[in-house]
Amino acid sequence: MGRYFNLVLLVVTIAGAMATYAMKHRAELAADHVKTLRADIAREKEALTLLKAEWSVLDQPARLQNLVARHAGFLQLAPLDVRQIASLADVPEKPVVPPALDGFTTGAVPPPPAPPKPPVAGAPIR
Amino acid sequence: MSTTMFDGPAVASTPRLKPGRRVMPKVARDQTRGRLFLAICAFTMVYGVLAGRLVYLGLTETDDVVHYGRAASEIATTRPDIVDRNGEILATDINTASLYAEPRRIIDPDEAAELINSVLPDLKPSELRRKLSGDAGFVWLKREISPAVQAAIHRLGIPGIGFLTEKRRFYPGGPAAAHVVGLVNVDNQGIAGIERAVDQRGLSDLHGAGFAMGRSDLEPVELSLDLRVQHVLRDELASAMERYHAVAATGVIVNAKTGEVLALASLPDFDPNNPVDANKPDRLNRMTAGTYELGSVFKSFTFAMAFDSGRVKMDDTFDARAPIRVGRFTISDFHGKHRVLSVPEIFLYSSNIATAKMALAVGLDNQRGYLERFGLLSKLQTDLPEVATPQLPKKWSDVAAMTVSFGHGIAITPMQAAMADVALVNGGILLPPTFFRRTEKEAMALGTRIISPETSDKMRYLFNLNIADPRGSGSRAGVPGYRVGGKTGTAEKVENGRYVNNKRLNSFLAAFPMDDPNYVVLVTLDEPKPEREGIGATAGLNAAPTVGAIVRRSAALLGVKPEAPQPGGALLVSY
Repeated sequence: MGRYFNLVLLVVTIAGAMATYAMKHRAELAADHVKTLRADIAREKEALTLLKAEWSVLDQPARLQNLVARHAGFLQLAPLDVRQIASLADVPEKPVVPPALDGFTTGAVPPPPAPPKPPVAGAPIR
Repeated sequence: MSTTMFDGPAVASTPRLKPGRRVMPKVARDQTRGRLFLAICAFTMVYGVLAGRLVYLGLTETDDVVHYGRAASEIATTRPDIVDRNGEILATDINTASLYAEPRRIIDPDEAAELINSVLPDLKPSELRRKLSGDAGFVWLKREISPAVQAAIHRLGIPGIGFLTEKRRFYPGGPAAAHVVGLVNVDNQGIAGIERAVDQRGLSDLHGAGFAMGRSDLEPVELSLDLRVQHVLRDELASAMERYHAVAATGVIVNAKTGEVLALASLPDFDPNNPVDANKPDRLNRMTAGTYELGSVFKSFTFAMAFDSGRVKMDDTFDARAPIRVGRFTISDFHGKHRVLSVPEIFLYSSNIATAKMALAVGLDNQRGYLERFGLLSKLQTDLPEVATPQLPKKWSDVAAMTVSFGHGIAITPMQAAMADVALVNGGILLPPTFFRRTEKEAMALGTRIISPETSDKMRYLFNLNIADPRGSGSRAGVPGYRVGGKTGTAEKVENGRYVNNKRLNSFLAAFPMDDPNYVVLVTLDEPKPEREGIGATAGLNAAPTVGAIVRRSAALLGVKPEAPQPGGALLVSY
């Protein structure tokens, strides 16, 4: 009886040792993985800051202005005019039947007759 | 084994028992059992402590281990990013790799040189071979190479070739906001602008204590600047400098309700990425570090104190027929009308004679007290380290009071004038300027009332009139759709103790939208020349249109709504 018991104990010890070894090995592998992942993250973060810096270089207003000026013929961009800004309240309801446009074309802002004068606060002084 | 364990101690501790007895007495058995129990307890405790320690170690984070391998220099030089109010990067740290070689460890210098040349063709082959074939322990091959080049050389796999990464401060905008952001020295310590302010606010202490290690530990520093508006200001100043052949130009846009600086430019400036000429005397930040006699812009402050003290009313008149002579000084008008002028007319025609009389009406001590409260007599308190102290008249006499009233004999920084103007238009609250984000509530807690709201209303009326009225000196600053108001200033510069007639410092101090001003703009042009022959070079002809252009381009970016469409101006809608 005692002999068998010892044998069982021996087997259990060996199995335990093997299991522990396997676990330790797996833990080492996982630690290595963590290390590579950390290095990857650090590298990616570095790349991110580099890309962000590059993006802000490319996105500089001064650079964009130069590009727009150089390709003005192709882009056909013009500075925003104050007449192009309006709130939704200024826009009338959409008519059910569109009114006949005599001679008007939509889609472009016609040149103003004269630039509107800035308003005067209060009455003029004499 | 069991016998020895049971018998040994029993025998040793009970000498009265005779050796060889098989049956232990009851006392001895109890004693043994007690010892056994003690031993079990001790072992259990030891193993318990071990197990507990294992669990504890398994549960604790071991992050600090990561930092052990870092070089001290890297820890000390990491700086936070600086971003504008929209999160656009103004300054950041980038890692750059530098290529080095250890010639002693290179086996075949010729082959190594050839391989490196295949990636870096700009290195001279002969020189490269000479460097690699020497017996030196360390030699730089190329500083600051791009990551792509680094990867390519790494892939070549040459022994004895390596990289060192260095942190370098990078300013994507170059000179765009150079004077505000400032710059760092070789050791990545801030030496100017906000970079220096950040160090002074405790970053260097953190570094000294060994904290602030990784970039993730440092929150980006958020400024109140708006990069787009900053560009508009700088671009317009640059084109004004070119158009009017000015030697320098400076401008600032301040939020009138919070004191936040939205844009600040001073030309000529420098590129902080390559600061070879950052220390030239003409590159100083003229807005805060230069003091100037600002001329008629100062009349705004004289008017404000005249109204606020109650000594002058809007419907008063002053005699501007004859120049004032005091001792060897003569005060005369530039746009002389030689008649009695009403108060708004004095403002429109910018009459020195009448303004001097208004200052006398206010009184010497009163005037000085008001200027003190406007923050014009003491050094401005702000986040930028470069701030100049104003130069005041030596003796506060009648002459001094009269010249100060129209901005001569007193030299202040343009920034002080802008901040005092903020108070004139925002209802009378003087705010300290800031380059960091601030809410209106925080600003009002810091502000001090310097004039009454009624005086501020009157000043807004006069500022607006000066642009809206065709007689006003600032009528060229008008922008369709936006209600701008402001005051021109054309000051003659002092050279060798004398005022020089054809060298001027022109400025325009404006605010918009005038019914409830949100922003104050100040532009100063140094020694502008006439745009073409035959016309003058007064502030109304160069500084005012520059401000107009700045407002036109930046108002939408600043979120200022244009006024309702003018009658007759049709609104075109596409559904």
